[in-house]
Amino acid sequence: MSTPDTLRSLSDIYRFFRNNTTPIYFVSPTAYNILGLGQWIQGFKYISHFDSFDGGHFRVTNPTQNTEREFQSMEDMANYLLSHKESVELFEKSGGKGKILTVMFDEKTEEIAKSLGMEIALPPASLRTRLDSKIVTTQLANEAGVPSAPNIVDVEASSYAELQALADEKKLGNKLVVQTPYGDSGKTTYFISSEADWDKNADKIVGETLKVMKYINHIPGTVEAVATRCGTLVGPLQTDITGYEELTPYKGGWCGNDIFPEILKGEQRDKIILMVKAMGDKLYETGYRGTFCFDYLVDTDDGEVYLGEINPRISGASPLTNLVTSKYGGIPLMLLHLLEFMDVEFDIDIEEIQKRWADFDTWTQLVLKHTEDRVRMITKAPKTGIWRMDDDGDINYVRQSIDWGNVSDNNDAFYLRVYGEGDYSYLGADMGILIARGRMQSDDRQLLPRASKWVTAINKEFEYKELEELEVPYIPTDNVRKML
Amino acid sequence: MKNLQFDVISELSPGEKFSELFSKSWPAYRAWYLDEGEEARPSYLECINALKQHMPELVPLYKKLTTLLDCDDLQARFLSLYCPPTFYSACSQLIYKKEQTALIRNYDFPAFLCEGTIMQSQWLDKKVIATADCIWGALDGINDAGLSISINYGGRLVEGKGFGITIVVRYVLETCSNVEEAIEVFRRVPVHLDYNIALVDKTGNHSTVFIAPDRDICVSHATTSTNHQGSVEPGKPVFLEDSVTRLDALNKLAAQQETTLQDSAAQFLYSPLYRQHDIHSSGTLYTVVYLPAEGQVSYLWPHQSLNLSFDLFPEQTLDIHYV
Repeated sequence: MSTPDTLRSLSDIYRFFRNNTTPIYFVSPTAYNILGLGQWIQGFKYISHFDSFDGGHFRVTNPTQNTEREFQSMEDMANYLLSHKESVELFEKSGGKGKILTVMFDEKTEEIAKSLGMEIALPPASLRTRLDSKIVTTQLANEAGVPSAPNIVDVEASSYAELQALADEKKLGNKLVVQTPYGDSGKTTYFISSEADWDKNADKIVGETLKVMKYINHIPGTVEAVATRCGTLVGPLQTDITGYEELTPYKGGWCGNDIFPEILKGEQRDKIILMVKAMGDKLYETGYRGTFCFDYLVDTDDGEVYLGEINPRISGASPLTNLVTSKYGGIPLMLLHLLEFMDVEFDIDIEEIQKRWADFDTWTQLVLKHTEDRVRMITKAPKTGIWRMDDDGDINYVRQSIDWGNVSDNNDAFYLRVYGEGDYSYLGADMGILIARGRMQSDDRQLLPRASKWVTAINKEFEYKELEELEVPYIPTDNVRKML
Repeated sequence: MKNLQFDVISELSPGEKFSELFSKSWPAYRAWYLDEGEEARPSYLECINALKQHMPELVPLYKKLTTLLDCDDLQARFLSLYCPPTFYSACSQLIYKKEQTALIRNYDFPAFLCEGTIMQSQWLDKKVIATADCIWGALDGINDAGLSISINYGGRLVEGKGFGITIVVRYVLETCSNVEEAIEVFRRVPVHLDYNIALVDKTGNHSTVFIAPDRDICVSHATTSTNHQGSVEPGKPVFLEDSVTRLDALNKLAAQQETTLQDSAAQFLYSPLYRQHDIHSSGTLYTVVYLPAEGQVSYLWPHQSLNLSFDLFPEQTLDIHYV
């Protein structure tokens, strides 16, 4: 049933968020994942742990941590931030009642939100956890007719021989990719083509429920989409930038994305978009609403496209998605996510909106991790803002900026500082993020010279001090190292 | 020789004196509060929600105090006294009911852990004189509606989800006028350790309430209590061995028909009620006598005393030396 208040066009949606009176808070280690959204939404605020803007972002609150505390996970950090005095007082000042967005959360977060009188504007934690399993995802995708690389799921193997027997049954070959249900990219995926490979990883595989795939030569990519009552809206396709040792100490670990109009032209692209739509609609059927990330694989031998995995959350793919979908005549995809959780009716033509980001410029994001296995205290860090590279590869700070919208040409980049002065650097820390126009990775997946130049130049801006003998810094557990 | 300085402070609305008290005590309380790590303590949200749920009348005062003190997250959590770290003390209490009704108690604790603040205030509507603990909480006190209250640690090591007792004592003094009202508070407000609560009001009503985090409260007409609840079975150890001895001494005192208030109070300055500092880690820090009908309070030490009332409350500092 439609009412006069039903939103039907982009203008309606813009107006709705421009006049929004419901406070919306993004609570996360950094503001990065949906930075810039405040330009569209009245009443939008960030509550973050890291102060990337030296207090210079009027929508960002950084609750002061008065003591040392070891956060066990990102969920733990989100719960801490939400329960902090400065946050609680901010909520009270804004009249209580509001919406919470975050990257990771759990049942405790849901309890906290309830006691604050607020709503988490994301599908329930229990559903997210269920969907996060690579096995459940594969099964749902099968039901939706979305193909995965040849595989067998929901199996166990206690020896290499058992694994081989499983693989033979489905003709997966000798080069296998084995995944356990949960985990970050690059950390719970094992490449096994010999007994030796098995022996090396057996302790992490035995006793787990597994997904066993045929190894395919492939290009990995990502696309963010939003499952809504009007259908699934698909963002621009992105390539993954993974595993470069300049950027990450983790083999195969995620370190950024490229967005460029030429990605997978024609049939392959159309097919991926259809797969994402089918997957989104299937997710919506299961009760899932809003944004999700669809990782795809393109088989470089035969050109087939497959589902890799689903990340049912705001993710590292969100920044470039929102950038492209808004900057080139559309709308930040995140607004459509929010609509699902706002008290408003909408009936929009998904196809019409999606057409608006058929044409766009090229952008890259690089996540700079600390790649040295040394713990030191940072005494100087590059500031958040616009940086410019000269012909010699040196960079200079041009000006302060609270988002990447002001990156004007291919020599500019926006750097978001994560770790700053007084923090400790350690292997795997997300030191900062760079967003630039133009590509940083070639078609055949080589890091372009300009990428290396930027990484070197940014790293040169850091200064460190060796630790005093008795100083024992807090080094986060693996669970929180991936902050974005 | 151990010393403790007692500051007698009158400040009706929380202001400069209260702020000074906080600045002086905070470093020690911070160390105590972080004893088991910061994660072990509830979040600010849990603290404020617990206050709102169980002692809503205190919330505006709590906010006033945290604003006055410009409290950070940790300080505000501490001040709520919701699920603080544990603390155990000794203490003896006697409800004296002869020619008049009075409440006499010894407070036994390590001297360096006692604030030594005796404070008169009027934060909500009632005037209150109390021995301060955890800055705005109270170990014992009296209000101008004619209610007196004091607490003994109850003896077991059971820990539950609830408030540090001293904030509940404050709540009782701020909001209750008689024993019945105070009992109702202990029926509904969770406290995190065992306590024996002595209550006396100006009508002469009295009660000793035994509370515990894992049991229903036990309201009794007992006039004496030390540091255990119920009867101690022979051969079964109690947390403080002299708890039984002290209770026997109190019961003997209560049974003597002719003993004057003054004589009864004097007994608190002698063993076994008085706990010597060279023998016990929790030695007796002060004896206090509350007369709720008269609105009078007397602090007693072996060689000193201090009389206070709602009409006469001279600010001063006393240096007490314990042998």
